[in-house]
Amino acid sequence: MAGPMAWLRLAWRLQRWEIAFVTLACLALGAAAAYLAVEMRSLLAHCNGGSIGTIPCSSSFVFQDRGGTVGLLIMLSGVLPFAVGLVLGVPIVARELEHRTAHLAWPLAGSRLRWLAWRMAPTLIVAVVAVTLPAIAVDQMLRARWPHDDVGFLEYGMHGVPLVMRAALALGMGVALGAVIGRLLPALLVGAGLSVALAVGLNLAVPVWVLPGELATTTEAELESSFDVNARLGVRPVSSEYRLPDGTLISDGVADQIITAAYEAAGAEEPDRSALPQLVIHEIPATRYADVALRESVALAAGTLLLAGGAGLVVRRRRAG
Amino acid sequence: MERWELALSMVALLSLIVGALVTPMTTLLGSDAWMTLLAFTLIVPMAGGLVLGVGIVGREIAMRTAHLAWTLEPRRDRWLLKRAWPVLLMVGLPCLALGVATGRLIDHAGPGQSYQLAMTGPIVALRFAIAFMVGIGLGAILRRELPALMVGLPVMLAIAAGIPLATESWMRDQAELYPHYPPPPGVVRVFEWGWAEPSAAGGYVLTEISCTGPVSCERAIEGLTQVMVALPGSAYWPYAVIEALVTLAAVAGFGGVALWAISRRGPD
Repeated sequence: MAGPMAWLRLAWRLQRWEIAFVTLACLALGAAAAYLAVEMRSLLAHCNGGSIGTIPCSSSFVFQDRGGTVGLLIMLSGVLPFAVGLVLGVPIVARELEHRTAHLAWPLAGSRLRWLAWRMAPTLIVAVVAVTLPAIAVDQMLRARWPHDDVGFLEYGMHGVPLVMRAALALGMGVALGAVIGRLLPALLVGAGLSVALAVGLNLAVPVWVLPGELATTTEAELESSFDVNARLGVRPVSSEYRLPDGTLISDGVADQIITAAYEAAGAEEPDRSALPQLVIHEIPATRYADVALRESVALAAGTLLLAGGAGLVVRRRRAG
Repeated sequence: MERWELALSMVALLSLIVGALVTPMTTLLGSDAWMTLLAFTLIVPMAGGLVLGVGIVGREIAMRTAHLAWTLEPRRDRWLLKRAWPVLLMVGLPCLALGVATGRLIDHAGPGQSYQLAMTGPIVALRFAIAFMVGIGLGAILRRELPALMVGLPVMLAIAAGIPLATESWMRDQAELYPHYPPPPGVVRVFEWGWAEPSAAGGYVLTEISCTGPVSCERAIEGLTQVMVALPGSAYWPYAVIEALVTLAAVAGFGGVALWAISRRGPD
């Protein structure tokens, strides 16, 4: 039986175009984000509490002309893990089926499941290693852009560990799609559509990784008394409701009726605000980012294994021709 | 031969057409949904064109069926034409319909919204044609589908970003001043907002506002009219001609490359 090095060599020989493209894309994005991070830190370090020319020494002023580039890199970073996963994952089974080489490859490996595992493992390593670089660089870029604040859930899923785990999940999805559809380009197209749904779904699912008791609450009064505009930068709002002065929670519609009635009763005067329902926001504090990322990562790793298992089942039962 | 790719492209295009037609009748017009729909109008024709294009020659060579296909047809250029035009027609027509549907959507959304000219009208179909030709050309040169697709993506991004960049100064020259209210009909792109005073000729003259706080800013705009610097609807067609010329260049360039590749190089 061939050793790990032989499978690595085989992965390179069969997917050298895809591996080269993925590596290049990840290096380019990582280098651009790292450059911006270093540049912004250097700018702020040279500021010395004064100003650069006429620009006051605050990150929001010094970095304002870099906002567009930072935004573009973050957007590309959101697309990257899905592109990497699909480009590397889809051809593993789909190409063998399409080119009718599965006839030869599967019997030679002894077991189809072993063949799939050995083909997937090096590709997964390449995907994870390649995406790790931009994941770290974009994370550092965000921290450099907002040096005085906890970025927490800001641009969640587009930097750090969640980015790497999304690439692994997309790779699993790509392999499974390639095995089910059996053709390269159609599987890529379906994968691209599913990736959009997956990205939106994973973003919406962030509150799922936190128990209700772990949520923090912020009231309207606390929001109005805070002068730091970036204080809530990394917070992830989950839901909001209204609370009466006696502590009873009410819906938005009922609160709206009470507030409207109070303003109508007060006429031209300002109604007593302490008697009005107060907005209460339930949110995940920025400090819980690591916990949420860890829980999501475990779920995504399980999802990747499930998808790989599903692909294995399909490969095992599928006709090679 | 490309039923999966064609079916998926058609489903995506038809969904967008239905979405563009239905959105003005719903409350979605007030949300970001219509902007998402326009973003997909920009992406889907180009992605579909590339995917369908790379399959025409690239797939035949990668699957080693080019031997048979090219032998059965006396001339390879005729073979290429026979393979390309049905796809161009089958997907190009829905792209045209999508351009009309998004035009209606943009009319309902009103001016002042940020969108690109390539999201509406026949330019939607032209972008598909450019991507299709890029796909055919790269498929013929690289002789494999996925690498051709991966190289094609940055090429299409460069073309899609390059045309507006190259024509930016021309478009700025065509821009006119319109009052913010009532919204002017037919404006196809808003460059910026500002304040203006009436001119003697009956139009407006843009005024530079300098103020330091809310009160002084309120005073500075007293008696002025809020205006938009925008591209009139009449500028759409000259822009479409530029896009058509780029399409012709893509047909000639990438089509020529594909012809050269399949006639000079063997099928293996």
